[in-house]
Amino acid sequence: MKNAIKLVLVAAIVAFAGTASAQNTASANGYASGNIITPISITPQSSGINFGNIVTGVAGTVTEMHGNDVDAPLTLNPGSNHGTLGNAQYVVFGQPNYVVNWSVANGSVNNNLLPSGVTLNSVTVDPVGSAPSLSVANPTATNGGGAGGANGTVTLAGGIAPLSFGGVLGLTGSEPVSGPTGFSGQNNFTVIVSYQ
Amino acid sequence: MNKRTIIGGIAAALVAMAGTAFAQHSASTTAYATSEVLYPFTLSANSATINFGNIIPPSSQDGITGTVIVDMSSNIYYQYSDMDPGQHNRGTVGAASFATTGEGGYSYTVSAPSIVSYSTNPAWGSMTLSFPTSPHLTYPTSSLGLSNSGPYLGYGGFNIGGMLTVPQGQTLGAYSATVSVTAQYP
Repeated sequence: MKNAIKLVLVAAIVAFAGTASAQNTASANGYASGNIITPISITPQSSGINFGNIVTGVAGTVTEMHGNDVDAPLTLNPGSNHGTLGNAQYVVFGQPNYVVNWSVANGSVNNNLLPSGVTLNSVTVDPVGSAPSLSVANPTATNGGGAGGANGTVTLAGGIAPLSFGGVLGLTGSEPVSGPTGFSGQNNFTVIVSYQ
Repeated sequence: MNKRTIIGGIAAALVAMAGTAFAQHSASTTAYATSEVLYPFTLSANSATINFGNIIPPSSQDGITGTVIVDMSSNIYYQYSDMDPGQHNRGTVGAASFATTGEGGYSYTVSAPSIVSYSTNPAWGSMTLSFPTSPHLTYPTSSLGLSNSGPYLGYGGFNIGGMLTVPQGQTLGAYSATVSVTAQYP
């Protein structure tokens, strides 16, 4: 009988101790989530800003904006002999509806390979492509690219956004003539895009 | 009153009875057994999602894989800068938050989290989720304390981050995984 009582009591103590230690540890579930998105990229669609033919001999500026027109003083304008005109066109690809920063770095348009006296004064931008609603006289998004750099944003509706750049060419009036009707030259600039 | 100390009445009785069996042949004395019943340790989720937000897979100029770490303070670190979609496009980023209760003033430790399951669509492939302690701490490695002091209920909490390893060309889409977190009295 004594042994029986002892066993019962010992069992009770063990059970009691077990109850206390069982709640030393607690667990809970959490979650991890991440969304893999489309990398951004930019692809050139044209060879660059082409100002066409310009008459030399006087100082002034020539603006190329939409790829099909040039704003230049009459003395610089060769009229129907303007030759090939064009803006620099790019397509930006990425995650649909994301906002993209674009920039032309400070000074990047001044790596001047143009003939002496001819400068690419600035880069203008049409951030939604060559929209006809924009005009040279009243551009809605013109940014100087020569001195302070140019920058802006575009939204990737449908995961794609055209981006085109025009420019303003400055002439001193004493440009050398590299061909029978004008000079030729090249000026490089770099467009950088990133998600905002 | 919630913390109860049982001064081993039962054990003392046992000893006494055991002593009785040998009372004629030996001396006896009294011993006590004590036990404290503590508040059970509990762990619950507050905001229990480790959010890595939006991630760009590493480019061909990067390594074969790239990592994104969310630390316990909800800071995010991209191994390669081009994996960062930009501040405005990152989406929700942050560590998961858990709450603990238990015996006031007691300390507890958190075990390294483990993965219970991954979502399958899209397939995770070779993308992995882990919980490093370096270069950024993703879970508490030191003992944590519960508020108050016994015999009152104590409260605590901690955050869990993680590291996602993303290979080049990872399939676009939203991924999720279930993580098991365990904490205990030391």
